[in-house]
Amino acid sequence: MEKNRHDWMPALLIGILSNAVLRFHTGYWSRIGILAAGASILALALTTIWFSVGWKRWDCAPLRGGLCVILAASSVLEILRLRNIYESLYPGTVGLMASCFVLLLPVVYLRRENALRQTAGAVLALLAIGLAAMLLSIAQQLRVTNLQNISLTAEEWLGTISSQTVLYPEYLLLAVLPKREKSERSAVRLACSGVLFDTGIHLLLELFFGAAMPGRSSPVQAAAQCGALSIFNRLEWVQLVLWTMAVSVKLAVYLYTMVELLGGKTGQGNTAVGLDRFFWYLGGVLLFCILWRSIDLERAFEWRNILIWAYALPVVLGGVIQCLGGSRKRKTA
Amino acid sequence: MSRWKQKKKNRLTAVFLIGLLLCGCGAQPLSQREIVRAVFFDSGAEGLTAVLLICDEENEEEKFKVVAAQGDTAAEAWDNAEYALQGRAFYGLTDLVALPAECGWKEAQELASLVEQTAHPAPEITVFALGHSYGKDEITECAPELYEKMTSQKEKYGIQCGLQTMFSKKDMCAIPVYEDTGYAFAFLAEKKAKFVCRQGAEAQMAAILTGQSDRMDCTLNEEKIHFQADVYTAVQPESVDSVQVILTLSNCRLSELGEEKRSKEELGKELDHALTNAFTCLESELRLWEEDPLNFRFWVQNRFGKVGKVRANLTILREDAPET
Repeated sequence: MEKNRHDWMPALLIGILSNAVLRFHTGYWSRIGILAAGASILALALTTIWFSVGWKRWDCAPLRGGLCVILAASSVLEILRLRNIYESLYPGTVGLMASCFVLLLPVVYLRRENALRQTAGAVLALLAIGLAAMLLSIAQQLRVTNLQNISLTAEEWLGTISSQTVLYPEYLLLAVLPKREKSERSAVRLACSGVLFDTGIHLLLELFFGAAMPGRSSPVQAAAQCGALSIFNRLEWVQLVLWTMAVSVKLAVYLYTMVELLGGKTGQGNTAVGLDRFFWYLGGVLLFCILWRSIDLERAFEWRNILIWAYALPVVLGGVIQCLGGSRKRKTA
Repeated sequence: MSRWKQKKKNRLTAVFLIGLLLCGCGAQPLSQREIVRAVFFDSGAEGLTAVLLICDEENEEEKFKVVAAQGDTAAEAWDNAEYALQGRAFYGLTDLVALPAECGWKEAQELASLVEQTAHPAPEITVFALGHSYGKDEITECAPELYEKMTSQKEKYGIQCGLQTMFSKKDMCAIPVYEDTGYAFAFLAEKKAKFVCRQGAEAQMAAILTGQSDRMDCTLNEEKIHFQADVYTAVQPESVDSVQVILTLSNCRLSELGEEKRSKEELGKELDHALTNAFTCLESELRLWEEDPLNFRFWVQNRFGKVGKVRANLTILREDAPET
């Protein structure tokens, strides 16, 4: 009998952290990023908490449908983003279909909650080891003098905060997925980990690229390519394998949530997504990957962020009203 | 129920097999790839030459083959060179790019960007500038030898001028220049004339102060003393217009090359004198550069918030290598 522990934190963390390593371009200079991190964490944590409160109150079919659309579109974009990295590393070697299958076939196994939880924990540990190896491999090329002395203008602050407060679907999933611990604590943990990791990656990249950092596309991958460690003169394939695993976990979480939203699970032990649903998902994602294969992905991710904020904001406002109403009632009592 | 399970299994197997089949599509056989180890650019009277040094694994006698082509622009020359290849160029193992001897900051940036865009997947690439112009025939002939020598210089002197170093400052870059004995060091800036340190100790001092090397191995005092050491640099801001540069030499080895026999203390004094001279020449030349080539202003600005023209003083600390 499978036990349902509802510990989604490792899987959601992987989703958030992978966004920092797979990003197309950096969004800010690290010094201003460090200064703005507190405000960004607060904004994201409060948004997640209020969304959670609002979701409990206003949960309805259109809202569920909207989130499913966001998750399905995100699945396609995630596959295309990783495929772009495959293509830049090994041009002409890995086709679109191959990328889709490499990423989606593990989801057959990961559709079970227990498998997903355990795999997510392992992938998280491997990602940490992989990043440590990358850091060691490029350590000689990191230069403190590459840090930029920039003036703190309003424009810089705004750009930094907007880059740090990208609302990834994982923040919303915290409200939707069954919980084991208090969602407030999870929201703060998730926001802290996401923003601090992103800032850390920016610091690493600035030490490596210096003034050229904003212009580099897929900067983490570009830095990983330059690393050599002992007998391994190229290590970016290690990162690529880990990122593939991370994206597979991410897709599995999206699928699990979509099935949860659209009417429960039907698989073995009541904790797995039914295979029939998986094939619908696989077919849909493949179709849209083909249709969207030549879109501007960076712009598409920007639009996704706008869409998610537009979707979440009414629910967040509902959550704020709910919280204010609750505190007023308590005061009156 | 069991039929339903069997159906599921069959479906899964079918998807898996189709996936495996499709994964192999579109791949290029390894035998059709030309593995490029280095790209050389040379400019001369005939125009710009791009030389691709190809690793020829099948030929045991000659490890490399060379393909060279010319064009009006670097991109055109490179395209022509690629076109002359028998297979498709593979840049996964490219580890060296040599820029023309005469190139300025703008040309260096353009060439480095071109390498970055073309040499996919671009791994760890070291950049050198050629010491002089060769001409198409000569560089085609000596490209394998140049590659071997540049690679061994990189190892010997611990040079780390990766491709990303070319862009790490907005308006200037510094690159090692290949020379038959040792290396020179060039500072290229958008608004300044190119400055090249030709002398061994000065060039190596420049590489160390820009963070591109951590080792010195050169001759001093008109080639009478051979000096070798691992070098660690620390910069301490003292005021808004001065910094103290502390050069720590560890595993320091000094040996006489001539017939003259001097004491260890005398050799040490000669070393201090030579290094101070090299530092003074370098510092006085680059002090007025707004681009802060040696990063002294960076430290002052971090410590005091504001910065003007910065003067630097050198302190040398020496730890001799144990005698064997």
